[in-house]
Amino acid sequence: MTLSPLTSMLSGTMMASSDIPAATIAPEMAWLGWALALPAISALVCTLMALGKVKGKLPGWLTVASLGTCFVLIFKAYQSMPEGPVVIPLAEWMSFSWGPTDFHSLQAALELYIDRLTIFWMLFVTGLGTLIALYATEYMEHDVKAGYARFFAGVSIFLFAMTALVMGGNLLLLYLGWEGVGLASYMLIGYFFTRPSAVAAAKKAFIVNRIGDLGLALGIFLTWRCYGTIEYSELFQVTANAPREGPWEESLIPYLLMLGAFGKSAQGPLYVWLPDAMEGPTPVSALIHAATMVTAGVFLIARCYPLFLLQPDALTVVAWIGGLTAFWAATIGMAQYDMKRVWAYSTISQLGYMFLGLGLGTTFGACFHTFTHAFFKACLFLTAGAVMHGFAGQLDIRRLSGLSRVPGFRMVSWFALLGGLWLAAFPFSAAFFSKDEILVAGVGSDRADFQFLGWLGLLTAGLTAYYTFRVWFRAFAGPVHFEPGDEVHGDDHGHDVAHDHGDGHGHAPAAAHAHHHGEFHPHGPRWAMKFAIAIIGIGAVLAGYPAYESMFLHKENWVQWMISGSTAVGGAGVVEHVAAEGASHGHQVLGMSAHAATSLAGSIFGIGGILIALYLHLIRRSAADSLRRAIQATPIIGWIPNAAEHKWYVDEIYHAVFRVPLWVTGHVLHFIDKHILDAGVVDGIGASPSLVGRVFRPLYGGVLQSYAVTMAGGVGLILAWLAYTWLRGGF
Amino acid sequence: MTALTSDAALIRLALVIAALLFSIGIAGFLSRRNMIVMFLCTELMFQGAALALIAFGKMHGDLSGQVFTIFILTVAAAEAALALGLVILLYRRRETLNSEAWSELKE
Amino acid sequence: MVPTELLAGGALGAVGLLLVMLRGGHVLHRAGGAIAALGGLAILAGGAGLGAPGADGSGVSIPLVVALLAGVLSAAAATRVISSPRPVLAAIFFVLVVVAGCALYLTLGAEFLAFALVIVYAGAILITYMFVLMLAQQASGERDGGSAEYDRNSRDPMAAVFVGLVLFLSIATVMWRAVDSYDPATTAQIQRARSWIAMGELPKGMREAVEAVSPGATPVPGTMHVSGGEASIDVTAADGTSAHLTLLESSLPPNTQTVGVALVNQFPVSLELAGVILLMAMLGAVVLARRQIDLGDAQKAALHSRPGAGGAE
Repeated sequence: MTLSPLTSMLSGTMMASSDIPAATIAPEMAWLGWALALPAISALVCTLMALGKVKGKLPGWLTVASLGTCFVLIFKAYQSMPEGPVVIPLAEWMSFSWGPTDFHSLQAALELYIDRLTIFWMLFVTGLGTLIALYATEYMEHDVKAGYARFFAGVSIFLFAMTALVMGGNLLLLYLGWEGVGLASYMLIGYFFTRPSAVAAAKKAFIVNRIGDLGLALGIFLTWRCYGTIEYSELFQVTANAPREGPWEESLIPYLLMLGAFGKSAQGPLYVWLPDAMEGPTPVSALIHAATMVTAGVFLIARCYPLFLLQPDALTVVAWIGGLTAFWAATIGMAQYDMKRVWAYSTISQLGYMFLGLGLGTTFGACFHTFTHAFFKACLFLTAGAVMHGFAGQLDIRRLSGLSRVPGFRMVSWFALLGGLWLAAFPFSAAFFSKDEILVAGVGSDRADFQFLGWLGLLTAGLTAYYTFRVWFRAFAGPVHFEPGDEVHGDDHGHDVAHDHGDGHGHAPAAAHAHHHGEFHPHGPRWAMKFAIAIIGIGAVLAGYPAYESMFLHKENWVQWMISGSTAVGGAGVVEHVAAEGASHGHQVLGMSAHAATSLAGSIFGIGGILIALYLHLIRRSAADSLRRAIQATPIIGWIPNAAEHKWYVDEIYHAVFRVPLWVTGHVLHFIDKHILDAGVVDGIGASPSLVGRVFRPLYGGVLQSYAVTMAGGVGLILAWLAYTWLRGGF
Repeated sequence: MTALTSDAALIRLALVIAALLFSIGIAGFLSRRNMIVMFLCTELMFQGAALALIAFGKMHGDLSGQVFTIFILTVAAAEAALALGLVILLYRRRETLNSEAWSELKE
Repeated sequence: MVPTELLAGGALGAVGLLLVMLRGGHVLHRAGGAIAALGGLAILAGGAGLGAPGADGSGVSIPLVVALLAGVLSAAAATRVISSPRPVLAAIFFVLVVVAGCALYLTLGAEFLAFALVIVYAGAILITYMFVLMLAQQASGERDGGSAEYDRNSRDPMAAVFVGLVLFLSIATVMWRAVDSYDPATTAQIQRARSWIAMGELPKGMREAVEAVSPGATPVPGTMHVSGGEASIDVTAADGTSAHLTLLESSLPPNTQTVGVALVNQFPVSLELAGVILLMAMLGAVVLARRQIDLGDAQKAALHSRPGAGGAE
């Protein structure tokens, strides 16, 4: 293994000490604003179509077209990318100033901040978004008569929000996109709004995200308060010159931003929404997990890295949370039976790696892993979706087996294998290099805690390889056996109705209906889904190209090049401090260079995990059950399998710790409100005028004189008071 | 109580009578139910006001009080003309002078 | 704070008035009248300062006695106005109030207004009332039991008397105290000075005043000088020589003249406005009356077309 290119690559991290160049204003690039406008237009048109009850696939193709155009625009921007960051003003938005001589001001124009990080992110966001939308045009076809337009309106909003989030030129636009992504995810997760579990999942995602969003909002407020601006172009110039010891509020900023990132990227205690988010249609899961929503947190920290660098302790927290989440989610993933659920936990786990990388100071590793992960995770979800589509919603790996030999699913199986290998970080896969970048920063660190996190990450890589191939060997390999899903679980599509319309291509209706008569014929995906899966699979392979290139052609890693010169590498002259800690390439681990050791250990862990899975889940499947029984029989650790299957009871604990007290408080307050405040105070206040009125009603019989009595009495009293005041020498 | 000259006593007496007439007038206005008598009571109140004006005019050696009383007479005459016209109108409507017959104001 | 006479008399009078208006029965009624009379007397006696005659012995004078009598008459008549069950009697008692007021005006030196009052009120306004009473009462035929139910029974006399008492005490107390600042000498001087100034507007009176001092002399216009209640003026004597005369007090213009001068000189706009008000009142009365006739015609037409559907609206 040639390690020198990898090592030389790392020098890029050291380059990071250079300040972020000042942004140039480039109004001539305003055409890039269409990248923001097209998904918005698409969302609008799809909404109108949904309202107008448009039948047919028009909304889907419209969304695909607009997202594809977006990708083309971004690619064009990539080709003509200027050296330094560029600010593209699009429109006036918010501009306030107040105080003496307009001392305070809040500026947030509708503008784009384009540097290489932006382009890098947008490339895979729009690219994958387009392919997933294409996949969804076929996947959602059975809903053509129901929510097809609504679905694509949600997807468009999703992409619009993500575009605003990534390309926006200030934190306010980022926040707009942030909330937009949350809203779109709510709409899409709750797409099957007649199903209580989907509604609950949507609410859960939204509410958990609110906690993070609160942190982000507070972080933005404090940023404005401490640095006086929320425009990136100014903010990073200010922070580059910021004193090391700012006011105490300043030290809160990274922690608050971090909270936002944790919420959106399902890290630490806020991860619980993501596994449930698969209640949405599978393309939505792919969108959320791979390309858009969850990477927003990574992007936020990468974008605001200079703010984090001012508080190195914050990065340590990020590293710990990331590392622990990666391990935690992997342990849960090992015990799940639902394919999508396993992939969901693997997403949390992989996101944990990304945050670990950010915390360890290797933004390059984190971004590289985001990039590779986006492809292979999209690939895994789309193949899972294809299985779900074909088997009436069946995803339980205990009820599916040998799918690679089922006609129509061969290609799906092999691409699932590809995704699995990448997820397992099989040696020389793209994810192997990207994960390696992160782990080497930990293992090779001078700090013991970072070293621990690095080794934990390696262990987690082994677990990942195991659970990934547990799924693959169970579902796609082995003897052919499958049971169709029930409609309740299957949900994504109603075979009984949807396929009656005889669209003239694909399976015959009779075959689709067969399972009602005791025989089930799964139907494989058609061209749109296959095409999307194939492109994404190839993309996953190609995602490793930068690493091969740097290794074999001794060129600078393309991702490295994309990250350098952006905010992600810092810019406050303190980068060496952290970066050096994270990636001291001279450090020796186990008698070799850190890189060699990590690569070797990662390979061993990964292949070991795969081999264990091979034995337990393909060669001798009964062994897995007997192992499980054996563990359950062991006194001290007997509880582990059940607990892992039940996700360590986190949801139940949250339920008991947060939901139940809130529920009880809510009911107590409701009781107080209803019976004391409403019935007592409000109604009492309301009743008192009527009581008083009842006393005085006889005075107001409509007879003129009764009014006159009141009036004259009032005059008399006022006069008496005036006379009294005057006589006492008042006035 | 301070000692009073004859003029001061006279003025005070006139003022007290004025207050008495006014108060009796208002008491009558509030309690009588015959519309015509109610108007008579307003005339009583006018009387009180006019008397007070004249007494104060005397007290300040000023003729404005008397001039203003002339205006009061004028207004009283005008008011009598209009008010009694209205009373007749109302009487034609309900065939009664009872002020309580007109209680539409309660709605 | 409130003078004792007012407080005690007012309370007594209020109780009496209440009894009078309650119409409980003859005994109570009479007793109420007596109590009210007692209260009224107490008030009036207090007002006249009978409890404490002036230090110079001039506490009781003939005008004061006249005013006192007029006050008793006025208060008693006013009480009857609001308590009489028969509107006609109420109107007649109101005439009595006006006459008593006239006497009070005379004692206060407002001769012109005294007579104007009698003429306008007793002569014009009360006659109008009488006509209206006759129109309304006779047409209704409600005189069967002597008077209508709504005339016999007051409504809510308690509230009315209470309001009246509060107003009386406030007003009377303030006015009572106001007289404490009365300075007769200065006021008399001011009044004389004002009368002399009014005299300056009256060439004929001025000539006569000059004649009274120096026969044959004619005043030089615009040379009158008033100071300390005395007036002096340059005159051209009968022999053509100039002189400076002090006018006699007996030449002061009478009340009617001074009021007239004040009315025309000081308040010309108000005078015009009073005229406009009268005009508007006349127009209003005409309009009201006209509408009445129109309504009658319409009614008549309706009655003609549909016999048997008679009756007022």
